[in-house]
Parts: sequence; structure tokens; C-alpha cells
Amino acid sequence: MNRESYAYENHENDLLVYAFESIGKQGIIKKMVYFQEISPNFYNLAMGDYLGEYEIPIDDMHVSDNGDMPKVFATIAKIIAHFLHENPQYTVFIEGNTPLKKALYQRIITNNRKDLITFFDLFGVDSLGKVQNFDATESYEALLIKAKQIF
Amino acid sequence: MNTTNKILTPEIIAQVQKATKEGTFGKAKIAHAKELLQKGILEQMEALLEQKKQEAQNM
Repeated sequence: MNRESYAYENHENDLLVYAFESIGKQGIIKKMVYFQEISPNFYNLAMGDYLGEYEIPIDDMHVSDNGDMPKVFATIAKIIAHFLHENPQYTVFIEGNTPLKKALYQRIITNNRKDLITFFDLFGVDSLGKVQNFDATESYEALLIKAKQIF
Repeated sequence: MNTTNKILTPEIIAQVQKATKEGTFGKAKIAHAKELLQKGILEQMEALLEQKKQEAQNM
């Protein structure tokens, strides 16, 4: 993946939590990416801004507008790639909690599609629960990503 | 990837894990994902993967 991205961290004993710093016009914003188990081998991608010592550590409703969206998207795509490389049997579920977030997440995949499709199969899920191969021209309710199988 | 974590301190990891365990965030999305699971999204995905596999083998 060649797009410019931020260096990210993850906890060496817990590959479910990743973090990086977005540096832009609003300053430095700590971004958290977390993979939550929904069922065995099926993980939800949760991401948002770290809020410091507040009781809820991640605000996943917030849109930072830090002026570095392509770099943030490329970083998130790399984190997904790392997670699936380490866990090739897993499927990642991606869904925005607002129409704006749904569109943003789809853009993350679309903008990094050329890099992602080398190693991963991408699928879109419509509002009725129908799954199809990812098509960047379609709008989806949710996305599924899985490491490519070698035939 | 950094070898020394400056963001993901043990305290922050514990905080995030606690919030996840208690369902503080991602609750609605996980509930919706479970609904979609009931509609067979993983089975549909596997069927598409099988189709791709067959196509690759027939090339």
C-alpha cells in the first residue's frame, strides 16, 4: 500500500486495538481503531477519536475535520490489512453509525481499493441483507472484508 | 509500527476494553451486524467466494 499514511500502534498482546495520531488544522487528534468480536471469526470495526480520561474512551460519532482525511483513510486501510493479515480466517464488518459515516467508510475502501483487492475480497451488504461483490459505484449499508484465499 | 507505544498505554487499553465489554460503544452496530448475520450474510459471502474459486479454477 503506497498511499501516505500515519504510523500506527497496536498492543503487542492484543491485536484488537490500534491507534495513531492525526496531525492537521485542528491539531493532534488521537484516533483509535478497535475490532470487536460479533461472533467467532466475525469482527466489527469501531473507530473514533480518543477522548482522554472520559468514561467513554472513543467518540465514534465525531467527525474531526482535521484536513488530513486521505492520510487517515490510508492509515485505517493499513490497519485493516494488518489485522486481516494476522488473522486471515476473520471477516471484518464495517458499518457507519450515520449516513455520513457510512459514506466515509465506503470512501476509505473505495480510495484504497486498488491496494486492498490484491490481498482481500471486498463485499457490500445492502439494507435487505443481500451481499454482492464490492462495486465502488454502489452505496451499501455495510461492508465485509476477508483475506483472499489462495486457490 | 512503533515498538514503543505512546498512545496505547496499558491504562488506555484497559479503558477501551472495559468500555467494549460493557457495550458502551459499538452497541447498535453490533446488534445490526447480528441481525444481518441472521439474514445469512456470511453464507452469501462464502457462496460468492466459492463462485470466484470455481471461476479461477476454470480459467
